[in-house]
Amino acid sequence: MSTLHKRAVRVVDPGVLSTVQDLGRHGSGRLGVSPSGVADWYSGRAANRLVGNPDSATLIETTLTGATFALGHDAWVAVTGAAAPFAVGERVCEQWRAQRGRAGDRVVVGAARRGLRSYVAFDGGVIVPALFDSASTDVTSGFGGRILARGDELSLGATIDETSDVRIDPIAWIPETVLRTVRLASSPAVETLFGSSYVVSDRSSRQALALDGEGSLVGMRADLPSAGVSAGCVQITGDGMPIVLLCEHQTTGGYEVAAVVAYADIPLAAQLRPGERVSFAAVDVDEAGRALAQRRSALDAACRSVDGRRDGSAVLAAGFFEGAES
Amino acid sequence: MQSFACRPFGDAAVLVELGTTRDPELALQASSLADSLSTWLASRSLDVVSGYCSVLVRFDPLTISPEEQLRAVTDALAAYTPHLDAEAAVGGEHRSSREHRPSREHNVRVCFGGEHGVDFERTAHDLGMRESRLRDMLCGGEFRVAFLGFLAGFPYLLGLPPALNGVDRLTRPRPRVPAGSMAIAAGQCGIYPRASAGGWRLLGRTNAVLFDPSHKPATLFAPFDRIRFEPVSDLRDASVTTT
Repeated sequence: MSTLHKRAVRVVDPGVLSTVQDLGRHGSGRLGVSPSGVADWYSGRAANRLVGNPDSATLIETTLTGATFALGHDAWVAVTGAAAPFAVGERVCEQWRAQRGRAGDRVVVGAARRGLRSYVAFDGGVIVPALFDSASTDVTSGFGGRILARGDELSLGATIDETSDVRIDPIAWIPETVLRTVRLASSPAVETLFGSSYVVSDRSSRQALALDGEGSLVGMRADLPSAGVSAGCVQITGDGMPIVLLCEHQTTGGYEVAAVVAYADIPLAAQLRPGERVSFAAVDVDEAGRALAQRRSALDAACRSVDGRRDGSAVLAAGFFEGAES
Repeated sequence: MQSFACRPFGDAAVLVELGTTRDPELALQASSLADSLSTWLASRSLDVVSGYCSVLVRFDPLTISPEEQLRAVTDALAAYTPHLDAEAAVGGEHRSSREHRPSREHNVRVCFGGEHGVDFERTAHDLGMRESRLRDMLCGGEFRVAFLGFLAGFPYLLGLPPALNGVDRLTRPRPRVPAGSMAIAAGQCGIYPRASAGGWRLLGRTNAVLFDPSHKPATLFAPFDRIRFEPVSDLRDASVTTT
C-alpha cells in the first residue's frame, strides 16, 4: 500500500529563465510541434538518476543566473549542468550528487561560473499537466510545461525515499569547446566550417546557437525545399553563418544542413554561453557512437535500474507553505 | 518497387529522400510515406517528420544504434507500397493515414492588403499586375496541404499559381509577423498560426485558429486537406469553414 505524500516546492526566485522540462515532446513533429525538453540531455538525465527518478521525470532547467526554491517537505534534490554554487539550507553542497533537504529549507542554485543551464531535480519529479505526452515548456511557442514565476508552487510526485549516495561525472569544461560533428555534405564551404572557430552570439536561445566568425560559408544553399531537422543540425543561414539547432528547434527548415553535432556533444552545445568560442571536429557515425557510449556509461554509474515512471499522482499544493516556514 | 535514398543524418536520425524539388506529387508522397513509417516504426522511432521531398526519422540513439536505425528504416521502406498510396494521394481519395482523419476541405476567408497584408500592394506592383488580379489568382484555385512544419500548425500549401513563383523572400526577415498572416515566397504559400519572426511576403490575414494545443485535433489543417481562399474586407469576417 502506497502512501501519498503531500509534497511541493515553492519558487522563491526563478532567475532570468527557469522552466519545467522533461526529455521532450516527441511524436508530434508532423503537426509542426517542436521537441523542446531539456537542452542538455546528459545533465537532465543525470539529475533525475541521482534522486532516484526515471530519466523521463520532470525537472527544472535554469538559465545563467540560477534560481532559488523553498522545500515544503523533506526531499532529495540534485543539481547538475552548469558549474554553479549550490546550497541546501545552510549547507554549501556538491553538485552532481543527491542532497537531502528538510521542510522549509531553501535550495539555492547560484549564477553559473561555467556553462549556461543548471538542472534541478527533486525526487518524485515536478507534476505539471502533459501536453502531447510531455511536460516540457516550449518557450518559443508559449505552450506546455511552465515558465516559473516567483511564488509558484510546484507539486512533486510520490517518492519511495530511496536514494543511494552516488556521484555522476560532471561535464568536463575546457577553454574552447570542440563539438564532435558528423559531416553531411562535402564541399569547400563545409571544409571552412571544420577549419574555423566561431563565437556564440547573444541571438542564441533554446531554439539554436547562433554563431559569428570569420568562417563564412559561401556557396551553401539557403532556399532548399524545407525538410525535417533535428537537434544538432548545423545549418548555414542566408548570411553564410552557421547555426546549431538545439532542443526547441523548428520541425522543418530550408537552409542547407552541412553537418550534425554528435548526440554525445549536444550537451556541450547547450551549455555554451554568448561570447564563448566553439569549433567543430569532423567525426564519422561510428566515432559519434563511441562518444555516446562513454556518456552512457558515465550515467549508468548512478543507475540502479530505474525503469518506468513512478506513479506521480498530482497533489495540489495551494496554501501548503503556511507553517512550513516561519 | 520504387527505391528511396536512405542515409544516416548524424547519429540520431535517418533521412529518406524521394527527390530534390518541390514537386507537389513528391510532397504528397512524402507525407504518405511519413504516415506509413510512423505506423511501422511505432515506438522504435522518436518522431517522423515529412518535408517537400524527404522524410526525417528521428531516434533516441541511447536506445538504438545508428546501424540499427538505418536497418529499421530500410525494413520499413521495404514494406511500403508507394504506387497505391501515391496514386491515391494525387487522385485525392487518400485517407491520410489509418489513425488520422480523412482529408477535408477548408474555405479560408482572408482580408488582403492594407494593414493585414503589408506586402500585398508591393507584391502586385512587382509582378506588374493589378491588386484585384493578384487577389483573383490567389482565390481562383485550390491549394493542398503538403505537410505541417516550421511552427506548430503551419501548413505548407501546394498550388500557388506559377505566375507568382517569382516572388522572393524578404531580404531581411521581419521580427514579428501577426498570427493568421497568409504569406508567399519562393513558390511557396503558408499561413502563420501565431505571431513569429518570418521572411515571407505577407499578403493577407485570417482570424482562424490554426493551432490549439488544448483542442483535439490540435491543428486546423492536416496533410492532403484542400484549401480555397475567399476575400473579405473585414478581418472580423475572416473565418474558416471546414467541410
